[in-house]
Amino acid sequence: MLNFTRLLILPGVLLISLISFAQNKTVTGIVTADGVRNPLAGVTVTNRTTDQRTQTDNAGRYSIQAAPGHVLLFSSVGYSTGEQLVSSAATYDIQMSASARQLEEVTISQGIRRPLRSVGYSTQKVSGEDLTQTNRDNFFTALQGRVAGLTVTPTSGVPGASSQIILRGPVSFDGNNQPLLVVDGLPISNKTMSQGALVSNGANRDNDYSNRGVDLNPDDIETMTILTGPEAAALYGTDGASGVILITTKRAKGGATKVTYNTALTITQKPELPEIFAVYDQGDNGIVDNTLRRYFGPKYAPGTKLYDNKNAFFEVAISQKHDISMEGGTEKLSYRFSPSFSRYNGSVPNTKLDRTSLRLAVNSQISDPLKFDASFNYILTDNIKGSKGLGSYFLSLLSWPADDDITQFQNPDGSRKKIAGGTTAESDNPFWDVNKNINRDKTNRLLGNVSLTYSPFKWLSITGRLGADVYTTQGNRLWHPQSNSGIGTGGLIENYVDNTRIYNGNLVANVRKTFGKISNNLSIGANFDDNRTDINSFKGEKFYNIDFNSINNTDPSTMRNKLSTYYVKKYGYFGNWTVGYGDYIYLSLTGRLDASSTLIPNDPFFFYPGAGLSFVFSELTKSSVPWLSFGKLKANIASTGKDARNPFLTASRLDPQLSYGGGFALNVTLGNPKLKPEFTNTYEFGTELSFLNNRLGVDFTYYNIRTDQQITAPRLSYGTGGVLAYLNSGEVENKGIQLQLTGTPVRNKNFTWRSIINFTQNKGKILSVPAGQKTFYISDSWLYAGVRGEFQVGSSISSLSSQGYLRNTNGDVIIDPLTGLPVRDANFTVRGDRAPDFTMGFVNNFTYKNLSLSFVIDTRKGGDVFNGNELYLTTLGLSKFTMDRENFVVVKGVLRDGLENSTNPTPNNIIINPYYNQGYYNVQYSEEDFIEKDINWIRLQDISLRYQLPSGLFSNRKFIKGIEVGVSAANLFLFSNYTGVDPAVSGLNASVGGFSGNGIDYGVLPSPKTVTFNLFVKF
Amino acid sequence: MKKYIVAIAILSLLFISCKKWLGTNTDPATPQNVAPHILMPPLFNQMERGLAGDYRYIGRYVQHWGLNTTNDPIERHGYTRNSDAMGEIWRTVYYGMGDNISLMIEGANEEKKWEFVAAGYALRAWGWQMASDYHGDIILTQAFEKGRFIFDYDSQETVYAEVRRLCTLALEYFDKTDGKLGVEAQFPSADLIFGGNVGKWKKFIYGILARNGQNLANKSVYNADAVISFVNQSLSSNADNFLIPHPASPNSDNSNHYGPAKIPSIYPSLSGSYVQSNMIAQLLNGTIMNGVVDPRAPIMLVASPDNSYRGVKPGQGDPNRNASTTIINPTEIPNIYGIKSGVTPPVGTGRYLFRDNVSFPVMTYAEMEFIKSEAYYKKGDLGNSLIALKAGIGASMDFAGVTATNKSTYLASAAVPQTAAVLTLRDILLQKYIALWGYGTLETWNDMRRYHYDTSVYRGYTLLPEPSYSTGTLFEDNLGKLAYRVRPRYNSEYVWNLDALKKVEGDRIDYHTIEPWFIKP
Repeated sequence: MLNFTRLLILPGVLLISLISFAQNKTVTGIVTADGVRNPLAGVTVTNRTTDQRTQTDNAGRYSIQAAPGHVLLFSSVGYSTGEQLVSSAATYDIQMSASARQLEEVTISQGIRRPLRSVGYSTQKVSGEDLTQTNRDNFFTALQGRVAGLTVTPTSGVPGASSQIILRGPVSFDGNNQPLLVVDGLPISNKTMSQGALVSNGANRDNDYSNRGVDLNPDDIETMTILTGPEAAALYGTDGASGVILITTKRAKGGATKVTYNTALTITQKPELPEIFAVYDQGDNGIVDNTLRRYFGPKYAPGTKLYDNKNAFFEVAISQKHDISMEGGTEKLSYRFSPSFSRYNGSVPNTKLDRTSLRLAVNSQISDPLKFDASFNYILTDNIKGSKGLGSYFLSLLSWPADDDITQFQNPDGSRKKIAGGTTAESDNPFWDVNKNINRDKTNRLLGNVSLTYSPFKWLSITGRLGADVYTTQGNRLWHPQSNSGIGTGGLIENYVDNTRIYNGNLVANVRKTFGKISNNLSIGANFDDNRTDINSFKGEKFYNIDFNSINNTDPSTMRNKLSTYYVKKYGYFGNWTVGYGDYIYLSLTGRLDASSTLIPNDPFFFYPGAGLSFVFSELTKSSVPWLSFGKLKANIASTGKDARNPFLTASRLDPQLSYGGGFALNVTLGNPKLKPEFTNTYEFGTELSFLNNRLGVDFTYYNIRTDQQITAPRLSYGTGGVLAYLNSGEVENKGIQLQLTGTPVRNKNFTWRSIINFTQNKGKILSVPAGQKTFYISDSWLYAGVRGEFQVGSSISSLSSQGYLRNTNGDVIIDPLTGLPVRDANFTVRGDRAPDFTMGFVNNFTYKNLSLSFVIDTRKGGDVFNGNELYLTTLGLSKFTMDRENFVVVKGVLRDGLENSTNPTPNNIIINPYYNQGYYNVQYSEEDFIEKDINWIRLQDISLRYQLPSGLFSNRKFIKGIEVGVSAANLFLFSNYTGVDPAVSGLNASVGGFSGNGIDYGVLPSPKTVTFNLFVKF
Repeated sequence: MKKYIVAIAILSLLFISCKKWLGTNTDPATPQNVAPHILMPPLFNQMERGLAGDYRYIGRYVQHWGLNTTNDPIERHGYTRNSDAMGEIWRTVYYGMGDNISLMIEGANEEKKWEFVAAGYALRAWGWQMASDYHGDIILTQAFEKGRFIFDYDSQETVYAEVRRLCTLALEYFDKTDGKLGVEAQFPSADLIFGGNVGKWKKFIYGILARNGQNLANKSVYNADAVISFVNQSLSSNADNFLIPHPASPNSDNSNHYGPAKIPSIYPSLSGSYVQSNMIAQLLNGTIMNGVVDPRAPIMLVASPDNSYRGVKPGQGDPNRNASTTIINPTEIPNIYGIKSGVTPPVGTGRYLFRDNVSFPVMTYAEMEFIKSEAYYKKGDLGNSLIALKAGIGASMDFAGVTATNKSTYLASAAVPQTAAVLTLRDILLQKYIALWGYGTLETWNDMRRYHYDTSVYRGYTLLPEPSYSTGTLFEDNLGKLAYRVRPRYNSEYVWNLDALKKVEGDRIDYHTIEPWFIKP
């Protein structure tokens, strides 16, 4: 593949060398702020044709090379961007608009653009460049800290791992809480495959599938706009109920052909692992037994050779990325072609994510009123993932005997080397696992997007869009016949083919007309969405040839097939009317009528309205309060309807039976013939203020989201005839604040410091649990010991429940008088909440001449984390908690002698010696002890230093026109009171609904530190 | 104006065609509505799953078998706290068969396939009878009600009446001749048990009625004549046995739940740790039966390497077991599969009922004869009682595969009363115990509970606590009482229906020791 990309460079290079350039001259001028007449320092002036860049000095003066016909671009934070066509004159003075950001337009929905000042809800923007620099395999991870109200949780530190994104807070008990991904006006798939679709029907914890958004090449992204508010989401229909991430891709700007080459080399460090105390040998109760993978034997004899297996296993991985873009054409017809190849190697041997992307975007002004825009993107993703969770290399590595050299995983004949003797099942050597077991997904994807805009009058434009997102993922999972998980089956292969396609489109008419002081902006439109996934999976066991990876290599009698289909069609009509008076007060009314196939045979139509008010009071105070550059009050109230999260729920499904005689029987989850849409009611209000010529800005929003009659699938009494059932029931409230502070503490000719603080606080509360029950839990989240995501009325969807010690009415631990050990309570009790009290992102950007430094600090306060890895190590005798085993202990508590609930219970006085009684650690533990409360962190999420080589270096060179070099790093440091490695974890993959496995740290590789070197060349 | 009308007309047309475009919302990959004959075969597997799954546990209450390890809480008449263990019959009756039966009856009614309606009612009656005998009070009237999330419990008296009503209804539907019947309805191919033989189905229904009647033997309403009449209309030979079949070369999905193929991967299954009990060993090795070694012993039981039949006592495990996984002591008891206990038997091996391809018995002719024998005995007709007893023993021997010679030798031996005058209830119930060993576990438990675990009837039964050993005392939560019912399935009732369960005191820690209605006077 690499050779292929190299080949692509050649024609580009040839093209450029043929192009000759017009004669440049020096253009100068002064930039001032509109209305204030103050000179503006630090304004970036870019010659769009040559891409040469400079900045204004303290007097607002600039000087740049340009030729007639070139376009100069003036940009500065807090100001709207200005353009100037260079003609024969040599001086151009520019006035930058002081009301800045508020004059920007924001794309809110499907081709509707509205002045930001008229918007009554919150929107935030992140530039694609910021994400590209970080060079993460899953660029969504880089959003953490950059947007108020957004939380991204990676599910593993291996390349291609899915990321879960939640805007504001989790609303759905067990459904998807992730936002809709919209690219150039049309939704695309960001699905993470659920293992339930496969023959093995596994829980979503022992394998991961990328969220398909990773297929996008971040280098193609111009901006990402995050809509957390309800009104815009209402315009996107049901899928936008949890927010929308709008991606606008890069388009050619016309003019001379430009070629850029962006390459990055990333070094991924070995991940950190929980601390392992290799002091005691394998065995039980002080007696050595090397067949056991437990460390309750005697101490290792002095002089025993102990290996650093952890270090031996992981690799320092080197990844690379090559992005090329070629753009050019004329104002009438321009194109951008961007081939890209990246290979992310994981620190786990043999893991990688390869992505090849070819993208062509064309825009054309066919005639004066008619504009055509099209893009096609072919993506090939190949992901070797490694195993996950129980039975994975990770847990095996934690528990591997320190006196064994882990690198020796094979016998001389190539067979698996066992260390516990022949008969006992033993977990795989991590090296064996990553070398012999296969877990791989390959995706071929084609994204197409075509739009036509017709603007017959200045006040009217009509845009039609059609999109297709078609992909096929081929998954291959193999358990080698000699692997622990393969011995019972004689080798197991499970393959699947996921054929997904989304066809969608919309038609929007936009009318803008101003009558005197009254401005009108009316949009009406319709859209459709036709979304189908067929997953064909097949498995076979008993390999004939032990090393041959093919389903044909399995015993036909063991083969099984399964077809899972997801098929949803939707369409909707929507309208928005924004009426403004005198540029300072705007009222916006929105309505949407949706129809979804998931509700059929019931009424598929449902309607929901929204209204927003925006009051730009600074328009009235402009003269009296000069330090207030801008002031707006905003309020919004909306309802969002949501259809069933999956198709075919209005009737129970019958599953094929494998028992004698075959036939069908009801699925464990009952359908609901009376299913109706659920509604979320939201209100929010806030203010946007900016002071001192936009040097300081505040954007504050308070929101309240209430969802009632949710479509959930709770567990119920089997008296229903099922185990779970789809219902409309349960009510959840989320309220919180989003605060964004923007500031430019320093701005002068050479040095600028810009800073953004994003503050998020969300409090979720369950007002009623589905079916009037007391409790609800996500069974996938019960992945280790007695801990799971379980909640009840008054707690939140992010709460965590666990088993623990049995206690008397006084709260004392009850002790078994026979053993002197605590008695376990098998009931689940809510012990904590995984959601933080608040999170704060601190984004900083320093520029000094051609040097710029930016970094994002991500902080969090509060939120509980289950340190499952530590519990695992404790039960094995490898944790620091088990190093006190040679001390006699009397467990504090009261004896279970019938008096435990009386006024004078008998205090425990039974002395135990844990060295000979390991039950103290590995049977009678309490999960409660491993739920770490109020976990805070400060993390250097990303840091990046870039240097643009002085343009003078290239003024005489026709070939290279600019070079920028940079170095960036991710996860460079983390300060946390968490005793595990990294509290930003999820024990499950992102396909699980609710709060998923967030805050459950078990068996998952933490995100590694990476350092990236960037080279950006303009031709 | 005309323009607007045209526009409205086009718009409304768009709406209508758009709604059509949404399609049907039915799953193209898995059906959501199937014919009755496709719903029936899995029901039999569910019956087996429920019985086999729970017999693992109550097989320890009645001392059919025990574990090779000590101090098992179930053997001590306890249960596993906060666990779905012992909840398989519950799962079968409410989920496994539950609404599947309703769908089958519904579909069959529409198409006038009366045999499916009848079989549906019969299986539902069987399910209620089993669930109530097992749990006592159960959900009945409100079961499967759509839109309901809390389900009240009904008394066992209500359940017993409902079973009789459903049996009568089933018999009526089997008599209907005006619909689609037999091959036309695809009943014979779907009926894995009797191949469409309606007569045998009716016998099965009378068998349910016989059980229902005989279980009330402690009550004043007990009618021995009615029971005898039910028995006479029920199974009349081993050819009428209700046996759930399995293919000759099964895989883990379609094999017998007692067979080794299920053990590694399919729940619920037995395991290599199950060992025959001391009671069954003593009944068959001559210790109890006046020195007569039962010809069924080598078929049903496993001898230790020294050729003696031994069994485990509750809570004690096998004290002679060698800790090694490979060496077997001469006096050690092999597991029910015939190999060293604790070792998983290889797929395809096993013996008696504990093989992959053997049919699983739900009701046998022998059981009917024992019911009749006890009914005659209660009536005072000892002559007929003895005839039925001998028929029952004979049927059991035939079922086990004992040779005719051995059978007649045994029937004439001191193990069997030769005259009506010496016949005792113990003779009947011990023979019933032997005949139903391993598969009629719930019926045996019903009988035992009716006799309050009376060891003068159930000779060889080890009552707890037994002073000679210390580890085998009763489970803590029993508060000194023996088990008399099983708690409803934990993750159905204790988590999601506790309010209703509390009304019948299901939240008591000793709920499982409360005597059920059917054994009370």
